[in-house]
Amino acid sequence: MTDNQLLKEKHVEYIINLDKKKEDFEYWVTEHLRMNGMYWGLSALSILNSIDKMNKEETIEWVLSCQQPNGGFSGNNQHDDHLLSTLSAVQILLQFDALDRLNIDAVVDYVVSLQQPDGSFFGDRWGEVDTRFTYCAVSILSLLNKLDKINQDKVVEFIGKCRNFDGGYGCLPGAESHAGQTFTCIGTLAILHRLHEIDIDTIGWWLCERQLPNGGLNGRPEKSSDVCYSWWVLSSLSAIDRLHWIDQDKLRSYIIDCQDQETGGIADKPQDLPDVFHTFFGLCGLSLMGYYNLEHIDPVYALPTKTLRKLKHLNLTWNKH
Amino acid sequence: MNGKELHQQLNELFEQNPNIDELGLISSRNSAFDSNSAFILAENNTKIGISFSCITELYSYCFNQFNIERKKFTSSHSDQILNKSLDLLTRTILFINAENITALNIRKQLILNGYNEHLKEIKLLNLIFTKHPKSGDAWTHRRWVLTNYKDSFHNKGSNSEEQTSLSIQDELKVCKRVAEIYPKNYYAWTHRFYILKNQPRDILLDDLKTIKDWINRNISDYCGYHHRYLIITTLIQNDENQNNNNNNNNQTQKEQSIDLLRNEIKMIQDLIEFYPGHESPWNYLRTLTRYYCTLDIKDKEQFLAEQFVFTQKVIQDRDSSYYDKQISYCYRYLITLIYQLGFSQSAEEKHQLLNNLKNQIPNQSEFWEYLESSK
Ligand SMILES: [Zn+2]
Repeated sequence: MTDNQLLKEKHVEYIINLDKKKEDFEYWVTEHLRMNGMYWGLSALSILNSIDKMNKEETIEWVLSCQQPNGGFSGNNQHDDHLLSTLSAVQILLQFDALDRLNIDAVVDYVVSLQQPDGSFFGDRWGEVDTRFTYCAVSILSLLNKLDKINQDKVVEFIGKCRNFDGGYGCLPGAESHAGQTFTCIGTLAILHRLHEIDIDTIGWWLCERQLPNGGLNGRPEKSSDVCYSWWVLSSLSAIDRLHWIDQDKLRSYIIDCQDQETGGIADKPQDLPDVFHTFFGLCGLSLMGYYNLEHIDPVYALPTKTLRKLKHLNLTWNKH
Repeated sequence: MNGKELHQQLNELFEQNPNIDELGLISSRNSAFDSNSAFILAENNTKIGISFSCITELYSYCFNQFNIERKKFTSSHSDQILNKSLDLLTRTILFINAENITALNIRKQLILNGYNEHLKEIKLLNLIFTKHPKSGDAWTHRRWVLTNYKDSFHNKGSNSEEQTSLSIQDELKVCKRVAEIYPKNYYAWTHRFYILKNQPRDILLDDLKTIKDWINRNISDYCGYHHRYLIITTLIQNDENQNNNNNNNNQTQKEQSIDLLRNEIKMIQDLIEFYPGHESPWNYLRTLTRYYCTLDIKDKEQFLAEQFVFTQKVIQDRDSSYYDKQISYCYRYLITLIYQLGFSQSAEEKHQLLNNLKNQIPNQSEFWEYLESSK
């Protein structure tokens, strides 16, 4: 357990067997998130260089079947559209090199229709606002090379309103700083090439304070450590080029301790049950820190760098890989 | 029992016991269950437990049936039998999975077509929160219901004041209850400020009193401190906006708000000394101090000197059993005073402080190095 070994084969096994347990309670209470789950699983396989283990054609067909008449994607066939699942759909198709099979104009119209006069985005037609939705919208449009369809200055203005005195960002203006929301806001600014709007010293300090003596990271003060923050905190630090402000060896050991030695997969905390979400984000953390020869993941788009390099219109100023 | 029968039985229980206000999912090994019963009522039929053993059956039936009936649903014409069935199916779905956004969205449409009432929906959400306090989608749905409720009053042209002020108190109560079920609940606290942000001064001041008691019992929950920060800064900001609209009488009120901030800083220092070794109050003190220094105040130097005296007092108080933690947070605070707010210290003292930090918080050595090199 202390030999810091990454169980690559077991993690691949764990991920490809995930979809086969339809009789479980777990299946029913997560089926509405299947699009996100598919993206987490597929991208985890990408990091492990095993994307060919996934049934490509079947997955593409299923993703396309989730596009709704308004252009947005739902989390599964029987659900309503949302920006969160729409981003996952685009990310999956891109990794399968299948964007040409997508009705791109419909997606773009859908995303554009959700921007509000103050620059924020609704998550769907029901009107909730959250910086996560801003990130989804901006990421989708940038991957599809359609950023010019929205008011980018207004986006930046809105993100600025969500910034707090500790340098972190919340889900809405005034909301408490949260590492997950900080990732979405820094990511948005990076994609729009406005990283200079960030007070790097202050947010960098707040982010590196998230590391606990056990090496793991938390998302807010006095919360316990959790593997998914190896992504939210680490990607933010990486985007502002301050990855070295935390102790990376200690974080590596923490993630490794969260592996399930029997079944494969990574849990939120040591000894907990693994799930696909934490498996993906644990691998992302290890990839960002450059351990184990994993495929490099981009800290802003949460996609493999080599996939993004194929999109010539992108300029990944923060990514040296 | 199959899923359909389970669903029907659950509906009957709710019809017979309209006062159910707490929901639980219970493992069937629990001795309160005899092996045949899927549901159990307790405390004068106000609490209901659903046996975990029947949950997959119940959920999969309701979800499949919901998908069949949803296809018949249109917003243009309203079929009461269909409305009722969708209402009950989505209710059971949300008892088990409050994140099913498609079920939540149908419930919005049942309000729009007049089948469901807003207040009834809020009551149902209160019940759902007793089991799913951290469901972001359920909180989102709640905000939609409240917004739509307000809009519907405006549309009718009636005076909504009395109605909405009633619901503010209800909302604050729910936020507090949920924050207690699940500490550090980001959703509940974000919702609390969403409800309060445009309220008049006296309501904001009242809430500050309410939360004072709460943080004394939840020292390590940053949410409560952040909420106080929002109220205090909102009050100061409101005063400033009024001043800009040349309202001269406002000067004393503005001073009162600044006093509020000074008292808050004093209060949090007392708390830090009384409950040593917690990160949250220290972070809060740091945020308040940074904020104070952005205001147009004359005594900034004096203020920073007082803060410095406070840190020296903490450093000398070696009796505390949490001295190591307390001192590392205290050093961090000193860094803010010196490196961010310009409190002047000799190079020798700065060097000593950063050395201490490298020992206390070695994880962040690179950051302390960075400060050292940046001067
Ligand atoms: Zn997590």
